[in-house]
Amino acid sequence: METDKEDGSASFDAARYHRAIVRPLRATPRRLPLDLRVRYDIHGPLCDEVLARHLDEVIGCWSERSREQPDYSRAVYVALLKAHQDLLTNPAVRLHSVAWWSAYQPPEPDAEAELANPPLSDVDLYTVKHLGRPIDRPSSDVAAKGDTAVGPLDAAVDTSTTGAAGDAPAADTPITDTPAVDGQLTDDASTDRVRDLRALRIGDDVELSWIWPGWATEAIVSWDSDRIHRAVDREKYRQTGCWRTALSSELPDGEVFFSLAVRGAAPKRQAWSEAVSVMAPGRRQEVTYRVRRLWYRFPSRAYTVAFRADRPPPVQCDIVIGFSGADAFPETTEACKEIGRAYLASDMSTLLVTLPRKLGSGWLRCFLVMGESITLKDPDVSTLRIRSWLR
Amino acid sequence: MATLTCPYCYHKQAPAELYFVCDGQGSPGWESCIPRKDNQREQHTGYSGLAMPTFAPKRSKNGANPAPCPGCGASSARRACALCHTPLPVTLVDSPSPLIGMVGGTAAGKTVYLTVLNKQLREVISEPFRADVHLVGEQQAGSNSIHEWLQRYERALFTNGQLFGTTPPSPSGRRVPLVLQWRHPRRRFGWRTEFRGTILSFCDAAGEDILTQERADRQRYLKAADGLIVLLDAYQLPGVRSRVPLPEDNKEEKSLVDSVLAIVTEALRGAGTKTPKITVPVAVVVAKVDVIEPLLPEGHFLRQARPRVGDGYDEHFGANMHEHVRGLLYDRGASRIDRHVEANYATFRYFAVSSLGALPDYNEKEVNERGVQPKNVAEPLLWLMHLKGIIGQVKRG
Repeated sequence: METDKEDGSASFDAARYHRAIVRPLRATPRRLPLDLRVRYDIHGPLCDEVLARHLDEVIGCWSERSREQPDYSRAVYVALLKAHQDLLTNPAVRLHSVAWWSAYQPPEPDAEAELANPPLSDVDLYTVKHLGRPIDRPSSDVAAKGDTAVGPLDAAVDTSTTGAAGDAPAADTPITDTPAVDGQLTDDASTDRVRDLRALRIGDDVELSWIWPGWATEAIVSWDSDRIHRAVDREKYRQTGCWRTALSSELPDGEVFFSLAVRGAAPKRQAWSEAVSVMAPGRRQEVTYRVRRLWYRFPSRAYTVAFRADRPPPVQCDIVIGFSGADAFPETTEACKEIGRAYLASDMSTLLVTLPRKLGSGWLRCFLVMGESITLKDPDVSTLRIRSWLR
Repeated sequence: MATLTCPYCYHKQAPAELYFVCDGQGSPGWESCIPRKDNQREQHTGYSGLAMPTFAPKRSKNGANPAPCPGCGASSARRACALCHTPLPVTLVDSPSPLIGMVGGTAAGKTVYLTVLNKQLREVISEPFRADVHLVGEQQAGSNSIHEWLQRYERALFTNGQLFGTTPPSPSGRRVPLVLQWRHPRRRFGWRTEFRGTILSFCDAAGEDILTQERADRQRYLKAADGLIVLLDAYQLPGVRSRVPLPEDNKEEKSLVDSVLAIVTEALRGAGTKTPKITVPVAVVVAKVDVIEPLLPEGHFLRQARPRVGDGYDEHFGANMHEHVRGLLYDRGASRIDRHVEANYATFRYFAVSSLGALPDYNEKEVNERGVQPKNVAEPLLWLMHLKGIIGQVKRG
């Protein structure tokens, strides 16, 4: 926000905001800036009137852009609006108060990696609601460490089935009620949490695995800001050694918080463990490619390599096209001779490569040399085999 | 003429030659047959319990069902192997089924693989196929039976988290196989559903049983197998041995070609293969791939990829895995394996599996704390079943 000193009016530069804030988020539309000052473009000293006008401009801009032609930017504006609506329902957040903004502390830099959450996350709200006391918010090292206590849970759960489970290999039961919590555990031996909770993202699915405490017979997994719960039976878990679920289409790309509590029989009743949470990493951007021989060219040693990204890469991808004359499929760039290089800046690109005749039979394979957050997925390996009459 | 192989003694025979088993019902004026000891059955299968008598089909009747028992006159339709006299599952008689053999060197993890595969087949793999999978045969139940053996191993592995000791070699070269019946529905002509049954017979031979050519030649299941799963120990790959700590059982270096593959190849060639290459399809499985995974870069196909779940075999995944494993063999100094297999087998595919999914504590003989997390264990079997036309390909979304 740029404040005009003379008339006290604020001017919101929508073009600059789009360029500086929205464009970089197009690849990860759910990952909004955690710092609300950045998100709402708040700078410098404020008065109530200027703040209100500025917020109106910002929200108006988001609203207008979110109705434009569908594209990747529009998804960011829609997410910004949705997050704004969520914040309005949060009594702890007063966006139209200058005093609130003055006291506002942006989150720690290391929390930037987390999924965008309101200042008081849903996980925290859940704990406050059930336990009557706030707790330390798990920071971004949750994913690295694997587990963090969220709060004690101790009560019975109604595990009545309300519908068919997703197409996860492990059987799971949707449950309607969250664990009612009284904050007290009578059997200390039953309070052991699960250990070493890990989350692995496989496409649209998330695979969780953990070490059960000896006494537990069932786990309750919840995610999507605690809106979805599944019961996991220990015997069922044993079959595969993990539990896998498909995320809903509303959560396709971003990181997702999973929390997990286990229960088992205590001397007089069902006992619950403390919940443990883990951040499932966001879906990595995927670039696929296809190799096709150009038969109409003579001699037919010309191939097209067509790249396709599932969304525009946030940074330019540097891809090496290598050829290996070995019998075995090459695993590294070192095993190949570089015959071309592609720089992928948009979601589609095609490159024409011509193999020298002396190279004979072998394999054509692409390797990603720059673009850490991107996965380069090989096509059917048989399409990468190059056959030649020479050998 | 179609022949079927007895899943217990591996004798190949025409369906018309199958014996009948008396059901002991008797008939007016005749005394009912009672169970008795069958020396021929004991000799060929090791089964020493009492069993109902069997009798040969009359030639004039061309083996037609049912036939009267010469002892008690009761009419019987149940068939038994002509050599070992073991009653055969009805499914096997109706539709000859493939016999899958499994071999591997010592400490390759065959018993763990078989235990995990069996549990996965019954509880996980059968689900998308809506298949009924269960143990069949008289020798599969009772004390000291394969069923009890399997339960004991499953309990040790999945519940108690314990590894097994080395399987002792069989003095007679004979081992009771694990026989499973697989029945799943298939759509015919778009709307009609029919159930198709298959008998899967697995033999868990001790590694020592194929240590020498002479011993391997005595393994009848090798010659009778319609498909073979060859387990190779990842600890024996040269490029792996030098980079990971070795458990006590794997301290001694053994060439996987000389100690396993070449012996199996010679045994199969000895079975009368006339073609330049052996036509029995072979799934060459690099077992214990959890040992190799830390050596592979993050995002490597063998670390990340999972087959598509559905009522078929994921050919796309299988073909990719084949090439990646082949690449791994070359990368880890084991290209001899590929050259041997390429030169001797017409149909083969490489697989990388992990029965346990995570490195166990070999010294304490304990499974990893996280439990058993099988990885791709059923893929070799699904590939063989796909080749035999038992299952189709998984639909790609």
